[in-house]
Amino acid sequence: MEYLRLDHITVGYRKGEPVLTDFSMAVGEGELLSLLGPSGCGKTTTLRTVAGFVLPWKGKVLLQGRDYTRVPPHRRGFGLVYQNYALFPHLTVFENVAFGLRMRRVPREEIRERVAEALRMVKLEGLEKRLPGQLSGGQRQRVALARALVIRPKLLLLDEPLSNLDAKLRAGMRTELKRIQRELGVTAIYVTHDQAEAMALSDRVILMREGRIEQEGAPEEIYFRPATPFVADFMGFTNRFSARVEAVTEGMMVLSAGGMRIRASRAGTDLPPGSGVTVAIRPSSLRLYRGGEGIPGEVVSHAFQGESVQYLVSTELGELIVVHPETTVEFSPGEAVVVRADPEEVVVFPRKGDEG
Amino acid sequence: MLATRKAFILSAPALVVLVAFFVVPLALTLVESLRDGGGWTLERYASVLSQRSFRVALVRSLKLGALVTGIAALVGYPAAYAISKLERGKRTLLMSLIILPLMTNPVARTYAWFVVMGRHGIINRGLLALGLAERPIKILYTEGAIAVGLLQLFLPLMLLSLVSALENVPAELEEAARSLGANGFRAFRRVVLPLSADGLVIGGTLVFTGSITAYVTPAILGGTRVLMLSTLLYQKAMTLMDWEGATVVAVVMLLLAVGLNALLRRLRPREAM
Amino acid sequence: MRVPRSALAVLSLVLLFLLGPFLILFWSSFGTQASLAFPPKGFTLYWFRKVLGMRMFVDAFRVSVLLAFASTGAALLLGVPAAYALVRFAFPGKGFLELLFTSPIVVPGLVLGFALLSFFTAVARYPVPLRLFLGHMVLLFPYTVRVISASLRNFDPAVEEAAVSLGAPRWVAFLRIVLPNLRAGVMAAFILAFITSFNNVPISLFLSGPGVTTLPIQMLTYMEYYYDPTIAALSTLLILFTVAIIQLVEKTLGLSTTLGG
Repeated sequence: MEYLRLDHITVGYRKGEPVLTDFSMAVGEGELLSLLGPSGCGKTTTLRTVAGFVLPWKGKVLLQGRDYTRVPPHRRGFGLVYQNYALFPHLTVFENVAFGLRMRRVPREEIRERVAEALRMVKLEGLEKRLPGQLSGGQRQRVALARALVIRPKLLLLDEPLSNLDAKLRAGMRTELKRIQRELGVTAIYVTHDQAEAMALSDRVILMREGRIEQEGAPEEIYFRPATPFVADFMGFTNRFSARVEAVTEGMMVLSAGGMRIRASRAGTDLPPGSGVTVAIRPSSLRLYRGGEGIPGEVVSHAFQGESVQYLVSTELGELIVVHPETTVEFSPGEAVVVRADPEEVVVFPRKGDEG
Repeated sequence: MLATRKAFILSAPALVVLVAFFVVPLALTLVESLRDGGGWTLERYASVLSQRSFRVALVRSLKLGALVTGIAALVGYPAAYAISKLERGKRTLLMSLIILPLMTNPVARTYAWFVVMGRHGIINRGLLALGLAERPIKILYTEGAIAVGLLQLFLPLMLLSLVSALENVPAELEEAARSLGANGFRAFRRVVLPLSADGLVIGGTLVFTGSITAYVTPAILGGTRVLMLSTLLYQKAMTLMDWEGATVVAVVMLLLAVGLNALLRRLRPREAM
Repeated sequence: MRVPRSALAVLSLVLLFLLGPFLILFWSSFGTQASLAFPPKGFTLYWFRKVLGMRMFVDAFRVSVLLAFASTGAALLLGVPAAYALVRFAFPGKGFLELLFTSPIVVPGLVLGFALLSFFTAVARYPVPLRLFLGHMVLLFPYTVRVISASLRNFDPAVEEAAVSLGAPRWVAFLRIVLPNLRAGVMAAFILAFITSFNNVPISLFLSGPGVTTLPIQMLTYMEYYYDPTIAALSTLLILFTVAIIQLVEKTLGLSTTLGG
């Protein structure tokens, strides 16, 4: 069921320099949608347009079919969570959370109950009297979340809410955020530049680039089948080289690159033999062997990364990065190796002169 | 466009007040200095510029301004350098002592020099006691007295801008220069000085502009005979009833101050605010 | 790093130069002679008693305090919304407004005082107290705008937006969320403006009138005729008053907040 729709939005901050041009997207009811992309791609502007803090030059914001384009932000009833929490520094945790209810003139007794409930949900009972300055980063983000949720928002807007937290805390908060959003069934838009976060949280991902949608789909789809070289690059397909299609069989392609053969499947099956392509492969989709079929090369260096080992391998196709999910270093610099790719995870794009 | 309207509504009261009681009066003064009877003329300027008293006052203002600025820079730099190297607590204490002359009632501040420089003041007593003078010498109502008073008033401004500039020079840089073989003075001259030049320029402009336009100090320590532009303006307007002449002096002072500020803005557009 | 001895020596001399005259003034305000001389003889509080009992100074003090309160308050009432407009909005003409709003600091006080006197004589024949009030307000306005702008810039606009998203109209968000967090800035602006008004000579010099004179002007007038230590005693009191204010500012706000602007 479609819940929110941005309809042909054009918006920007300076005359003649739109950030979004004729931008449309939709969010389903109860869905958690991520807007993913590098900084400057327009994801935050999209969020601020939905929130009502920037007025579109053209186009409409529709919520359940109602036109919200000109509704002032304080009458929209959307909950907002910011990267830097944006807590009211002079108010206690209780008063921070109660603020939205006070604005709605909710009776005192009900405020108490609803604030307590919201704090229970984010596991902050007992901290009501603290000031934001006396809380840890993780606690502040929970307060911000409780404050946005206590008003029972029609829409929850999250702007990189976890990026100020350290890695360990972030993973925990991610799960919890997902749990809470599910429990309440609130529709949410989640802005992030962190692909892992978007993958872990979202029902659907919109990957943006320069104010346009580059690819839209389920996390797995974007993760495994990037539609453009840009998406591939953003999703960590670090190894790239040029090749040509040699033969096409049942959903499988044989590519030749630098005199070597690589097999690929899944993507781009409609490319005729002879077409030039760009091949993109994740480091974790490559394996090193001591012999057999594959791309011959020499180990240049290795880096132990805790739960995996990263190798830099010099080949005819350039330097390739290979990540083995092992805890021991198996190959040493100078060693001759063969690199093989899982055909299922080799992505191929038609080459039109430029890769951008 | 919504933003423009809101911004306009919020700043409108201030705009009205400033236009009515700042822009208009200054503009009227400027216009008046250029008008005579019905038409436009530079005659008033010609007449004021031909007066010896005006030329003396102008030259004296510029001269004392330059002198005070020079001494403030020369003395201020080592002092500010020392302050910037002290630990936080001491630095704050020193700063609060240093700004005292700036924050004090100007008449009280200047009056203190009376006790120092007067006929029976501490300097003359000292000179007599040491046998260096036979009679009390005249210190008050001289250019030197004005310069001393101005220096006490404006040296703090120089110190404030130098200290804040020097605080922004990372100590590691200087240490790095020393570790590369520069001795203390060279490290200072090649690393610290260029990086804190902004503070010197800002402080210098403030001190110079302040010195050539200050009123209380020359009024008390220079008296009615050793006139600077400011005291000349007051004398023309209130004692000599030469309103036209005063208008010209006011415009000259205005142009000097605005010109110097514009120059500073052009040199250092960001810090000038 | 060690501070070079020579730099420390210069600093000591600077301090002596800046503060020495005040100490000498304190000392001489307790002397018993009727004219200023050094070293002062004897010890008396007579001059302090005298100055506190002098009608002309007490009245002028009252005028100065009232004037400082009124013009500072008015400058803040104009300055807070103006600073908000300058910091939070982008609009055509903003650069010009910024320039205009800070320019009363650039114009020499004496010139402004003179221009205002011409204006009040020729165009708007306002009563003396109103003249003083308007002149001081114009003078103080840039200080309030500058200090409040600085503290507004340090206040994350997202916090204000959060309040709006929770249902607060802009003005409610300003009063309940922004203003309480600007308290330090407003206090700093208030103190800076108050002292500036209280100590002002150039504007008051031209705008004071019979019966309505500020304290510094009254002191100047008195000094034209008398050389006794009355002014020394009064100056001592005023300097101590300033020291107290600096201490207060330092304890509560920190000097850099107030002066840094």
